[in-house]
Amino acid sequence: MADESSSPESGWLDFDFSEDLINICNNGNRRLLITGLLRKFLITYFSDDDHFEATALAGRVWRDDPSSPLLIESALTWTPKIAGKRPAILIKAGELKLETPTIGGMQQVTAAGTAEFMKMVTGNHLILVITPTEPETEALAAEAYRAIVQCEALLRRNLNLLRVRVTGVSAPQLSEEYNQMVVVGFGLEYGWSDNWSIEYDTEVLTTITLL
Amino acid sequence: MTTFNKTEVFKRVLVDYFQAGGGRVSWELDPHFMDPGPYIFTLQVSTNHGEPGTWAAVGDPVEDGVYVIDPVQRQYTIRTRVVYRIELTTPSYVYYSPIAQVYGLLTERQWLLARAIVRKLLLQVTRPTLNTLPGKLLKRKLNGTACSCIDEYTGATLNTSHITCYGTGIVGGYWQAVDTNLLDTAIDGSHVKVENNKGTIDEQVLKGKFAGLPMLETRDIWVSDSSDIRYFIHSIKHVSEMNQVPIVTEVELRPIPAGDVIYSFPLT
Repeated sequence: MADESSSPESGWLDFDFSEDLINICNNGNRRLLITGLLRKFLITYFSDDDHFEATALAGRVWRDDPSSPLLIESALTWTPKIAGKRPAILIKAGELKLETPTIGGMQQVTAAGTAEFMKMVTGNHLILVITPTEPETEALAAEAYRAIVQCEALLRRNLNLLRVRVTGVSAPQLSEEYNQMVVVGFGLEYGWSDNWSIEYDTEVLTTITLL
Repeated sequence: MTTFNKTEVFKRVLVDYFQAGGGRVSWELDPHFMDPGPYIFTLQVSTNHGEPGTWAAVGDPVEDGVYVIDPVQRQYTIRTRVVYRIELTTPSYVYYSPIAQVYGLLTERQWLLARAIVRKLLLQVTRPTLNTLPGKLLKRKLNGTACSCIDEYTGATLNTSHITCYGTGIVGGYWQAVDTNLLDTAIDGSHVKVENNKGTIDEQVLKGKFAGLPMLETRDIWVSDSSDIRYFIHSIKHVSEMNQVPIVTEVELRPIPAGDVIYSFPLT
């Protein structure tokens, strides 16, 4: 457990959002940013077994080297040095849906004549936990999804998202690899609004006179 | 709790003369037998159909072994009188296997045929040719002291990287390594690729043949002597079998990633 007096955000889990906020401010919310953020969150969580609820997972901490007993990676990242490493937590980006909640996407026109627009964006990620046995997969998956569930509100607030929620946990499935693996996946749904404005240099043409 | 009669702990005991240097007696324990280890196996021989008082120990006891070789010729006539049994000593009890005849489950004609088939394959397997891979077989323990890492509800391991059981859930993980050469018959291509729900994987399949006994099971390990690459035995097909005695076994092997705990298992 970290020393609570070291910083205002110290405690059970120390997670630094500052870089992510800078990224969001510079680039807006992006799906890749959510993938990276989830990886960073899970790495932070699994880097210290003081965070773990399940005592059986003691010592199974992530390390930033190929001999780490746990792989936490984006599912579509090519990582040949540690190909096939298990146990693994893989993060897989899902579909983004863009919704236009207003007519023409316009939110309002300000007194100065600036038109403001908005799109609602909802997306999902699938987090896959893969180990050779059912109890190990279940223990790791429960640890991972419970960590995210308990931090849903924190992630939503600090990253200025409108929605962050774990939607469900799949049944254990078998997967043939070098050994028979057991896979459990859980979905994370999130949403934000993209806002922008247009300042028109000229008025819309209403009358044309031919000379 | 499952209770066992003395002879029920052994699933089967086989005797074969397939290799030079004597008869080999191999055994397989019942997978539900969970006495704590270590297991001390002693081969005993009776020269008269297992008559009480005729049993004598052969060689030294073997700890955690899967077969014993009897170097002495004991059969001189046509009539089969010599029988073997295995004495298993655990910290809890002493068990005896059922009697196994020298011919095992084979008739004489079947045994002669089997010997010819195995001899032919062994000629290929033991010669240092391009496609012969010397190696060792690690038979996975299905019995013994349950490891501290097992899940109390399912009995399966919660930590497949555990050094005490090598991810098997049984203390010690595997029986002692035994020399077993592989006749390599085909190697599928290797390609490090990204798969949707698996991340980056490097799936290679090595197909080969093993001669005769000891019996193989999926999830046993085969270790290449030259490279120390360790392979899971992924699937098994007895391409030649007589009366349920495997003569030639075709296997599909898959290499285990280098970080796996099985690479810590000592081979000597």
